[in-house]
Amino acid sequence: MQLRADLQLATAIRALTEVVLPAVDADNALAVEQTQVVIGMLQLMAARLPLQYRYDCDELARLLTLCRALQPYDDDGGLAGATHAGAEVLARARATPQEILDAIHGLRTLSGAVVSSAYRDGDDAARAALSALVLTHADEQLLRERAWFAPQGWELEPDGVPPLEDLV
Amino acid sequence: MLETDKDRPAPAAIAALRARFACEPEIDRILTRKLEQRAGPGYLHRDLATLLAGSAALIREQVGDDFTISDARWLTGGASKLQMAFTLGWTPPGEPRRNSAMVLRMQPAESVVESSRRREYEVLAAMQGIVPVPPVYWVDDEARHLPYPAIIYGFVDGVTKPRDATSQASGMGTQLAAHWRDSLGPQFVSAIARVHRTDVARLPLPSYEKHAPGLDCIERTLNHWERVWEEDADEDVPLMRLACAWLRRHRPACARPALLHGDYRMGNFLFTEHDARITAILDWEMARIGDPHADLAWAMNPAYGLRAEDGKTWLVAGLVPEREFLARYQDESGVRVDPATLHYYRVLCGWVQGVIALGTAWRIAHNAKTHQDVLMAWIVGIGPKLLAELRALLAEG
Repeated sequence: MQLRADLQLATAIRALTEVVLPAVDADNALAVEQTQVVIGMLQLMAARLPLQYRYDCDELARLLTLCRALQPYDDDGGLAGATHAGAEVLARARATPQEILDAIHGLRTLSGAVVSSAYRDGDDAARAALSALVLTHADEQLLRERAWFAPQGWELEPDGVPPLEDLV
Repeated sequence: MLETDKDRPAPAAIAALRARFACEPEIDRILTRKLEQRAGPGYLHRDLATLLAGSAALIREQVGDDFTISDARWLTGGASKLQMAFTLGWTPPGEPRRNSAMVLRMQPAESVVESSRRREYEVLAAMQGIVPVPPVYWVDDEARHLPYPAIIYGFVDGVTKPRDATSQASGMGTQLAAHWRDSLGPQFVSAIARVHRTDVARLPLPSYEKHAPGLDCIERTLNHWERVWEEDADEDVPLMRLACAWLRRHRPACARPALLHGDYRMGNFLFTEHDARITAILDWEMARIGDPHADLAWAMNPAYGLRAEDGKTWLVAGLVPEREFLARYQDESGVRVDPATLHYYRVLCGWVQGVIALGTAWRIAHNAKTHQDVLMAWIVGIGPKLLAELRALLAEG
């Protein structure tokens, strides 16, 4: 899925900074100020979004340390169970979002190369099998990508695309 | 997919692409120029004064000092180029002094369709008197006067959609009432039939390769767009690789190469609202010599059409029922539409649209190369819808 938040934010910031802000009525102080604040908010998002998952994991680890230390003071014992559950969640949070993206990128590149060479060099049976594999994968993947972008309004028959929440 | 830094392609990587994908010389020139400049600055916003100064320098070189420029203003255009309207007071050769409404059409640092202003100039000049096109005057294809390559052509009255119509970005999904369709549809078909009927050999198009019948024209087209995918795509797509391999294997011979518009659809022509008359066919930047089925397939692409009010009838380009479109075209062009060849070119169209939406639009927005990167990023979102249509075509065999 090619369009992600980094590009969306960067291009929106650029449009607001270079096109919209210079065109806002300078006498409308509220509009000027709020445009500047929106730009600043988007810049903060762009800078921090890549670190958000890491930050949350770091916060959870720090809280687990505190909660383990607090357990002797917990009269009803609820903190111990919650701390255990929290530790289990943190243990499962091993791969970073960037690592997942890198893996996707690498597998897309390699599978694409295999498709190109196998279709070119294979016989009719191999080409038919290869086509079936790729078309099946594309059917499932593209349905999710179309659901992701459904709010943009590209679909002539939007009811034909299930909600993203039901697909992932 | 090349293992190279596509944001900073090394000379060896550029040379390898050029060797691997033999393109028409002018296409090779503009794609190579794009790559050689890619590591440089993004698009730098230029004000009207800068563009006026560049336009004046270009005009001065052609007609001398006896001219005036006034009334400069931005025009909204498509997704690809910047456009500035202005009035030129001048004395055309052999004619009385006059004020002419003009348009400067300039590319940004990189375009969603990287194309040649020289070729655009030549094809507009060649089409004068054949179909409605703007008069074309001057070209700065090496950006000697303007910040980026540009052409100057005459302003033509008209709109790309009536005031009561709605549409998506770049003219897609334009909903026209039946009375507009009844007037514009036949003109839309007639114009492309006239283009295809024109004897290519007699057209002055020095920057175009005039292919002989056979496979040359489709081979050049595939090389062009596969090269662009290699240059621009960030994230590879197995379906795009399958489509490309399928297209390579199933190339149909072209019996009679014709001049193609290359992007023939709603949004790329002007018409006057008071008489519903097409006044100019625009956006010839993808023009080439090739199989007429390519223009038909492009116009018929689902992204550019929609259903009529009955919920069933598919309208090509939002204008003409599909069956009527093909029947009328065959009558007026003398070209017999072959269903298998049309299917091939529908696959080609879907694949090229994938290259543009998922490859180039992403790359140029990522590198801040245009005057409207946010629109380029927005366009990436149509990629999955386009690929779903491409997938359906490939599933047909």
